Amino acid sequence: MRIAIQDAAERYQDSVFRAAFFLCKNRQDAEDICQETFLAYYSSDMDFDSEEHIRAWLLRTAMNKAKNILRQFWRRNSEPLSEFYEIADEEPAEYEELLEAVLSLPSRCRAVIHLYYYEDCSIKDIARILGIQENTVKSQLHRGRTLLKEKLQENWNDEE
Amino acid sequence: MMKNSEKYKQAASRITPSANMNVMNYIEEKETKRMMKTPVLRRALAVCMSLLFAIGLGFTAYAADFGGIRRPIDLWLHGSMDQVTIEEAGDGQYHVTYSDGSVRSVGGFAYEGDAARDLTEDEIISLLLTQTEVEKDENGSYWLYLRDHKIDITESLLKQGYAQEKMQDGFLADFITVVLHDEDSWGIMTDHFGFPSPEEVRDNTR
Repeated sequence: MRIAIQDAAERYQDSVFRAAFFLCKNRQDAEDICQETFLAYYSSDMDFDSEEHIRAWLLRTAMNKAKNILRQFWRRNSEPLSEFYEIADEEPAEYEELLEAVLSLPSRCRAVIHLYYYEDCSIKDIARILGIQENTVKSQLHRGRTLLKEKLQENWNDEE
Repeated sequence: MMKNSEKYKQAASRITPSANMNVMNYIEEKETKRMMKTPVLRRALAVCMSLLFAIGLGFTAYAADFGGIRRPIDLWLHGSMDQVTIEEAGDGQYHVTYSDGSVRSVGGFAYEGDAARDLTEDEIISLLLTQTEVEKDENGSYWLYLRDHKIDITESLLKQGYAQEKMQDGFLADFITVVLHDEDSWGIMTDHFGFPSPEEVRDNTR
């Protein structure tokens, strides 16, 4: 199955952009990756099993492109969050603190934490999307949670 | 009390693309370019190149007037020498402007003992001159670029999952191993004394 490119972009553009952003930490790079990811979908003649398969494929493609950017010698520097993230008056200050903490994690932890907590991906799905072993996902998730707890203290719960 | 996932979702939802990003426009532009007939495209590129040469001269004048802020240098791009300008942008970053108008932000660190420092302009130029690149073109072919070398590595990559090339045009040879992680992702490692193993490249670049 396939869904039209317009529908795919409408449904998954923000997810793909955020997945790329939380890996490469630069909005311009994330926008480039997002556009290139949907171009890859448009150009591909791949037949998907389900819409969930399409979503996973888009996230995997975006993550791979972001990893390539992270490896490039000339990648752009990361931007301070305050450059484009404005906290509304009624918004808890802990949101910005939380984002800063996640963005300060090592890249592998960051990717796992984002896919687990934002995309609600299972350990198995994360392993497929990132192309790593399930045990590696578990250890990165554990490491990420530990680091977030250290940084955020009571603002990060002990739940699994 | 709000769960971690709820809190994180609410916070991360505030990160949005800029108003400039438009996926459908981007795809439409790329598709239009792809459908242009090759001779027309070549002619258009030739015209663009002559115009860009004039702009390049302007950059040189700018550099002379303002104490060498922009420095013209020759760098390899896709197997050919290209005249680019390198400009210090502050915070250890440099902007490299290629003759096709594309701009790359460049930066890096060097470690001296435990202390990190920004790379100097000369160090960055030296790295750019020896940078190995792999690109996938619109036909699905994978090209390896190093200096004036341009090698099609598609067959090896697709057949065995990796490609190895030795290049010797200087005192030390470059042994390059490229591993395909998947169709849009690859890892590259270079050594002067033998090929890095595909497993090593896979483990270190994924």
